[in-house]
Amino acid sequence: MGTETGQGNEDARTRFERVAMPHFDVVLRMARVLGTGEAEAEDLVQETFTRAFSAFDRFELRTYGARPWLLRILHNVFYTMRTRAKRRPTLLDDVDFDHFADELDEHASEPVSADSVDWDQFDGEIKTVVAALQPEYRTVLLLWALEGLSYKEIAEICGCALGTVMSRLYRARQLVGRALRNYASQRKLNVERFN
Amino acid sequence: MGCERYRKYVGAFADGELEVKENLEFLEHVKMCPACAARVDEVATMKGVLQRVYAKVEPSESLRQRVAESLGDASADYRHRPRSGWSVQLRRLVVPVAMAAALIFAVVIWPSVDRFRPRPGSVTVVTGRIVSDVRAQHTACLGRSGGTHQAADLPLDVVGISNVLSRELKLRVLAPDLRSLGFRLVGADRCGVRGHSGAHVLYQALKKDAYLSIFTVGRLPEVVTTSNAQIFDVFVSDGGPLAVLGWHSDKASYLVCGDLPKSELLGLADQIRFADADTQDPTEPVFVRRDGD
Repeated sequence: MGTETGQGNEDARTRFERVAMPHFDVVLRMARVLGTGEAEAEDLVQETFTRAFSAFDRFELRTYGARPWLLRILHNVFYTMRTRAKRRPTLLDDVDFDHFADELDEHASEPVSADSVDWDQFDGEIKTVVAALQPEYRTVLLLWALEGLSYKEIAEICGCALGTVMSRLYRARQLVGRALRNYASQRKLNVERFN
Repeated sequence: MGCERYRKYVGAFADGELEVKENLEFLEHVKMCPACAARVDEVATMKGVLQRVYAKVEPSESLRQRVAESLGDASADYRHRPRSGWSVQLRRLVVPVAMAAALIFAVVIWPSVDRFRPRPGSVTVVTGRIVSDVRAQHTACLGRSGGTHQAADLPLDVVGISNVLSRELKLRVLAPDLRSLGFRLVGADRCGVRGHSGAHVLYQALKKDAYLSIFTVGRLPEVVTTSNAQIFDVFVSDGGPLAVLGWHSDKASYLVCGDLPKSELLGLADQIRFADADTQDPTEPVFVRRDGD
């Protein structure tokens, strides 16, 4: 019996490594963005994979694959750690999807151009802006941008409604866009595109 | 009319997340509204910028080791996890029955089921062709459909191609990334079909000299209006199996070209569609190529 169980678990470990470990870099990248430093990011990664393995026999999100599943665990681990540290994220004033357009930045399409941008500084500015976002916004923004997930998948990962994803994404993009325009404006840059 | 009512759809439109009706409505609006078109651009641009800034990182060996060790601990915990009495009893009952059922299935049922099962592992891609041949094939194939080929001035990365075409066409265009399927991007040519601009994105199989062309365009109106039909059109050349298949996902429309039998192109289209949606079960092989004929 012991041998049989051991053999079964050996297979589970091998299978887990085949299914989950290819997403190691994805999880690490998101953890780095969520965490406050490299140490916290590595703790998040370790805890995520440990929990994922423990729950592997109940592997959910088969419809979407392993990556959203791991990201959802990461999301949960992050909030659990934050709660334990009594550093709860502040509640968000999520925008009502039907009305959030009322708050649109009227300067959203102001043209900017990329003549003399210091790109290293620019990238640093983006990271600063994104890091300053509340975690709920940051998570949705980066799941959208980096992982290319659908709104539905993001909603699954974050455990929120589709409309909430849309409003958070809208707000996050608005905040980042505004900060970047301010950056360009302060440096008197005439930038048409940011890429 | 002001465009306030459309603005809330900008992000969802850029992401290909709108329903068909809303998408068409927004499309009509954005054709006449440079401000909203610019906002669509901005969303796509911001995505590209974030992808560049937060490029993937290679995990350190020490972190990998650390996680591997924690998995080892978890594995040990798992092995020694106490099982409840009922689960042990159930296991004793179920395992022999399941084994017997599996044996019957393998010997009696599977061979007949297998005959009718789609074979994702049996798709043949164009083999032994060089890039110029495949491009010439595109010209011959799509030129008859009203398309025109232009200079190959597109960037050689799928995000770049998507961004350029999205910006130019004011449509969401998504070039599929087939790296996970064992292909690398080797070229991209502009092309038009039925008056809709797009690009051929040409991939080469890493392990052999095989090429695959995906024609990527924004949402074609005829695809949107016949959204129930995944494969919306097939062009077959006069003298052979040369064909173009088209279908659409939520985000874009694709055409696959190749001198393959239609049935194989259909299989290929299926696989790319699944790969694009990233909905495949990671435990299942996504794309296994058969050796070239």
